[in-house]
Amino acid sequence: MTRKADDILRYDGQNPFGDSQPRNYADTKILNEFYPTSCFWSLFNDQHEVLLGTRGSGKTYLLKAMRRSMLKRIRDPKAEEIINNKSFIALYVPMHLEVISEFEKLDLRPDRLRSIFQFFFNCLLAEAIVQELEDILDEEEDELKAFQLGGKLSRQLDFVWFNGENTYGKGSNLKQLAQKVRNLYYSFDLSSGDINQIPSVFKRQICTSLIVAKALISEALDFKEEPTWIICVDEAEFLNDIQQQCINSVFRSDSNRIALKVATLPFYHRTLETLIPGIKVCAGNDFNYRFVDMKYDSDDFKNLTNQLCSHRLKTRLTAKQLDVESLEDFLGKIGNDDLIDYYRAEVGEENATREVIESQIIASFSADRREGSRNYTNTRKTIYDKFTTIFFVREMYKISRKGNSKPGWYAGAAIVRKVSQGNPRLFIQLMNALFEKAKKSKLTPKAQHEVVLKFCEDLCNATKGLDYDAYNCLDAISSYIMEKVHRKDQMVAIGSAFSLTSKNQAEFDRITYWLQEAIAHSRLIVAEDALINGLQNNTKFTLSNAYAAFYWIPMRTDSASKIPIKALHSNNWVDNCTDTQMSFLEEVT
Amino acid sequence: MIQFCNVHFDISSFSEVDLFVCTVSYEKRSYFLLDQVIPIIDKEALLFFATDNYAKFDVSKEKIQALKELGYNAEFVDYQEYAAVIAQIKSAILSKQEDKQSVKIIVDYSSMPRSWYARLPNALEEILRPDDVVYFCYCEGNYKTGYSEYPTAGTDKAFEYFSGKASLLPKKRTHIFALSYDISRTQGIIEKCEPEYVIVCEAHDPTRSDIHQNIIDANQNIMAQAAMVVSLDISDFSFMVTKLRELANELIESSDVIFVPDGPKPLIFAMSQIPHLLKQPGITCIHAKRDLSKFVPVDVEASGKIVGFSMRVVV
Repeated sequence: MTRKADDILRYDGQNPFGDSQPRNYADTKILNEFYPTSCFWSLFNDQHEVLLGTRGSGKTYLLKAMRRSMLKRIRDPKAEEIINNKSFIALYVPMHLEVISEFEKLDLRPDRLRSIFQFFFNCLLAEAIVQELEDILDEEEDELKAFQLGGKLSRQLDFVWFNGENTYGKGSNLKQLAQKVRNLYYSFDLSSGDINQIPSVFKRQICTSLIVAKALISEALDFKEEPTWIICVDEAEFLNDIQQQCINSVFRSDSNRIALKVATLPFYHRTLETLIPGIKVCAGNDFNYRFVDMKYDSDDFKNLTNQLCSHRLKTRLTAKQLDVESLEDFLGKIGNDDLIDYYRAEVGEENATREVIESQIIASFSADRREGSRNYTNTRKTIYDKFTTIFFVREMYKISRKGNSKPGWYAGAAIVRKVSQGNPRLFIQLMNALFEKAKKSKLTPKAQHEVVLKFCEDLCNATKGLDYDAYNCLDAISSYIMEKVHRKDQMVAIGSAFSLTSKNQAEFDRITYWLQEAIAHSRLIVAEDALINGLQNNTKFTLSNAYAAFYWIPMRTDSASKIPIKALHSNNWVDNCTDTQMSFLEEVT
Repeated sequence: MIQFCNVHFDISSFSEVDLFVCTVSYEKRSYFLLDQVIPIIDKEALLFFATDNYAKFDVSKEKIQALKELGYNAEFVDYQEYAAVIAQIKSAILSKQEDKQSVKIIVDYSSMPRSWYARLPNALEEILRPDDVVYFCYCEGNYKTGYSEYPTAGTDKAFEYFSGKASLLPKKRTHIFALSYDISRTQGIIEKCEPEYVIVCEAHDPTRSDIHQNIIDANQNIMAQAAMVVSLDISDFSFMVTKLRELANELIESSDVIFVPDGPKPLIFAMSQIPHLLKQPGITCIHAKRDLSKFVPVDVEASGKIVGFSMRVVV
């Protein structure tokens, strides 16, 4: 088995996986690492869409790459088609936490809060328009023509936005115009400023700054047909209900060749209300939901991880000249990278035959089941296929408990993708840890196992900081399932799936918050319909593969355990604080 | 303009003070200085607060009662009502200013909520005269060196805007986080914040290298993923402010700067001041709220060491 990671040994340079946040990514970096997932190209349509994705799933990456300024640098026929046809122009409009939280702090009346948000959104959109126009004009080879066009557009936009007034500066060229918009926004006192003093375009419904501008832009840039303007609203999870109503109102209104793509966390599109009382938007009619999260075993995620791995190693470790095209190249591969291959590597060829495994599985059954198994036909299906995943985990766990033993179990590209749960950010963070290890020692399967398990442990522990109920309850659920998995002489068909049983809906509703937080942060997985229709009493949950790995639970989703909610007992963490713990103060106040 | 200078404190610093302000809480160190100051200052020079829920905690309940028997009455306020606290402090200072050309105010912020103390410089700037001086002092706590089993303060679902003005459409954003022993909370903050380019800073007592090493060890994962780690001396407030200002000034050329303070109070205090000091669009400060439903109060005694700084308004 060749493993390119071994070439990193004693490397003392920077870790190429050290950053994982696309918002920071310079456009060049986005392009170089860009992999057009199947979701990406289908976003270019004229529908309003709410993009639901967990943290780190790639929402920002997708939205940023939709801009014309990015598309024209992507070497793909579909990108060329969109650019040449001028059929879509995307604008990136983020709802940053540090901006939106300022509005919350002002404690404004609802009508003023709405007005301020509309003002902010229209200013932000105006600046995004100018930025995109600057980039479009950069394409123009004739500099004089570009200069004249820029001047013409600036004057026209200055007129429709500011009525030509110079209160906030001049708008003779696009840079000045952008500054004028910023001056308008920064000079306005959000808590006490007179809304009536704001130029009318900026205080009307969101997107007005684009509505009044798009026709003149099309004409100035000589578009044969008016394009669809795609407004990519990122980080919409920070918006409150009134602000979301502003967006919903756009969903409901005549599209005007404007399509909103609103990226948010699952369950954070909290209201369907619009600004008109009693009028709601309807999913499937006024807008569509779109799921951004990738499955860990999808071609998209496999290709994306290969690209990330290859690109980062090749471009940042130029001295090493690593010939890495895939994650498998970097980590090495045992056999086909299947569970049986890693099991065989641990226990030896003779203990890994199907016959031996089947007999050991049967030996692990309860007495009754053992007796019944004599009558099983097609043992390949009824025993081997059904139970090997569980059997492997049990056996590897036993090995891990023996003294200084450490199996090379959670290793290989397939496991890394599984534990990353189809989440690009988690993948990069895990690769960061693996790379750090590879600098210090050979990245054998045992070494990879150690890193992966530590990563999973840290992720589980980090849940404490997100939501303490989620941490305690997931720990209780995982421990419960773990105990069932590893019972001596009683192997049962079980995996990482479970449902929560409750006396009534009210009991279930009381735990909904932490369930939603756990899902939004990739600790729990549910089916897509649950993300839209909400969590119910009968919703099937699956522990993330990171949880499954840390608690030594087979990563399979059939045979869901039924766990009563009352058994979770989420308040016992206080009882567990000892006197020693109570004597230390964490400086967080 | 505000000027901060480091100050060395000992008990003689507290004589001839016009106003001593503090908060009595569930920590014994919250009244360490108060006990020393009471014998040497007039009753009228004392203004101390307690939160409405003080009776829930034995330490504060007993202390408030003992002080009451001595004729010292606390001002009771809701934890969240920082505006009322600041208004009272300002009113007390204005009253002292009527009779004197210069006043000396001491604020012991060792056990104050951050929403109270971090706002004071900005609020007091409006009323301080050039010869007035406000001292902010902090009693270091007697901490054990271990950290792994301590309860986390968690994070609330919301962040609270504190100061500054973000850019409309920044090309890049840099988040500056502070490290502490509460790794779960730090990880939760980072995960919820979804930060861009990450810089972390930590502040420690140079005489306690064991604690410093523990913080480094505990936060290794976070530090490994940061672009820069800034190490600061908790007793050198002036340098902390200078360094953070310098960092923000360098970064603002190409990036918005978002401070997310946490960790020891002097560091929280310093980080929270930067947007107000620089007054530039693109520099903001947000506070991560604690998960109050899960908060476990932990008593800490004073180590005896007091660090602090003075604040003056210069024209």
